[in-house]
Amino acid sequence: MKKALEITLGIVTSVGGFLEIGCIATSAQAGALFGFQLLWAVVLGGICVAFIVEQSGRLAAVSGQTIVGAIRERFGFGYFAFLLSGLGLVALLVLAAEIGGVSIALEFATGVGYRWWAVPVALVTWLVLWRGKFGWIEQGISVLGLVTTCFIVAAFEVDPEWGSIARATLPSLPEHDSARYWFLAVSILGATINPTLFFFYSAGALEDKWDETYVGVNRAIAGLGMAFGTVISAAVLIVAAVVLLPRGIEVDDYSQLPLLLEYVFGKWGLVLIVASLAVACLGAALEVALMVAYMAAQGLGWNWSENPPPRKEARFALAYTAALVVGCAVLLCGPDPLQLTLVSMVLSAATLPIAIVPFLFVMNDERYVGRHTNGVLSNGVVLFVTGLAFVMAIVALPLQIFGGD
Amino acid sequence: MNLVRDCLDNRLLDRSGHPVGHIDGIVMTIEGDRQPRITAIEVGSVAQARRLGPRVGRWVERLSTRWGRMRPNPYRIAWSALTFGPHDVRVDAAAADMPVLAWERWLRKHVISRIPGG
Repeated sequence: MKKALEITLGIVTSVGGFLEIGCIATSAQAGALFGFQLLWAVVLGGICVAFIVEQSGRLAAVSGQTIVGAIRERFGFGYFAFLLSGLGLVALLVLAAEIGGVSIALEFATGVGYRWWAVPVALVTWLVLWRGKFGWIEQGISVLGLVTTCFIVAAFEVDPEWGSIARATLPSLPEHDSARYWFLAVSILGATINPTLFFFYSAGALEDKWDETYVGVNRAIAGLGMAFGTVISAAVLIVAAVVLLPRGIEVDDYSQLPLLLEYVFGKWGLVLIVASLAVACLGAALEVALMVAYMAAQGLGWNWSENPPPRKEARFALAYTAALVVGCAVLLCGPDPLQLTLVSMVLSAATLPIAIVPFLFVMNDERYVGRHTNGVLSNGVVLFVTGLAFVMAIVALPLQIFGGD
Repeated sequence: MNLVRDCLDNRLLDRSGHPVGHIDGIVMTIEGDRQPRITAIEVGSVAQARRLGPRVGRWVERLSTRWGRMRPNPYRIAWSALTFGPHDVRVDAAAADMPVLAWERWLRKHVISRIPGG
């Protein structure tokens, strides 16, 4: 029973890891432009991420190693340096987008422009990490994250055509704006299958002191946690398809997001969208900042844990502090936050193989996972979607840059 | 033992299980006609940088002699002080006394402890 309560790790990973600004933005855009048609990307991303998250938890539980630690050991320092610089840079862009997400929620609530909120939001995020322990960050975000279930209620309220929804879970070719369609499909996959998610989850499993007895529970936690995120992003897409598409509202600015829930809940819609966006993006900002610090610490052999006070692991604390400073600076000097979000999600998809391919080697290595090595299905699903996301990203990025939209 | 697989880049812990770092380099001694012997391992940013290339190595070495806290860098640990386990390597010493953690101690004293709540 006590182990079942560890579901909070699955929910927090889901809330912060993929139910965040990237997911809400890409799902809303996809629904507004293409109706239910891109639902398959949400479902495919969700299934794949559940497989990868399960594997990362299994590695941590069986070997006591995190993904980054194992990759450094198996593939050497040179590869680790490459991984850290590649994923680290993308993570800083994502972090900027998440701080932007909380800031935009505050802009909706107060009318004061988002740039004014960037520094206070980064400061609050830092304070939570500085003073907080892993356990209460995990439980706090999981409980607050339940507010996002308002999207599920909204999806039922708008009374969509469930038949077309079922059909849209299978991929189909676009009838218009095909460049835009593929760019969005990659953004959705990139926002869902994010390295932050499984790096964070494997570190979290060790923070929560999992051992080999957690292999079965881990499967349930990864599955349920990721299903939670998938259902909610699908709900965002469905609401956008019913509410925004017929009115010709393309989500080309974040200020259109409240329309999603205002249509269903009236003036409470604004409150709910502010709360959902703020909680999900705060969770994500915490997670990404921690992930950058975990990655550096686990590959370089520093003390790392979010539980003891910062002086016990000075370099780890400095790493997440520096990540937040850079993320905040990018948001302040950077472009429009919606553009920032979409580009960082596509870059995320493009860099995915750097993390996944070596991870697959580790998951098939008996010296790490003993008799719990990957089966054919686990390997197949991961290879397929990684290849797909990578190819699509290579195609979509130039399309976006050279006027695909 | 397979040196690259079972030693290089493995996690290094001290005698009470605190992290020291990773094994960043392996030192082999060749004396005259005798068979070469593995005598020590190296830990530290300079040993890491040398693995990325000689130029990066020289560059980090210069930075480290000027600004570094860790002396000597790279730090060598005698092979005889190591015990090899399935997932990590133990060194028979206390991490708190080792030069490898010089930056950690410096940051703790001069930066982190000065910030409230640190």
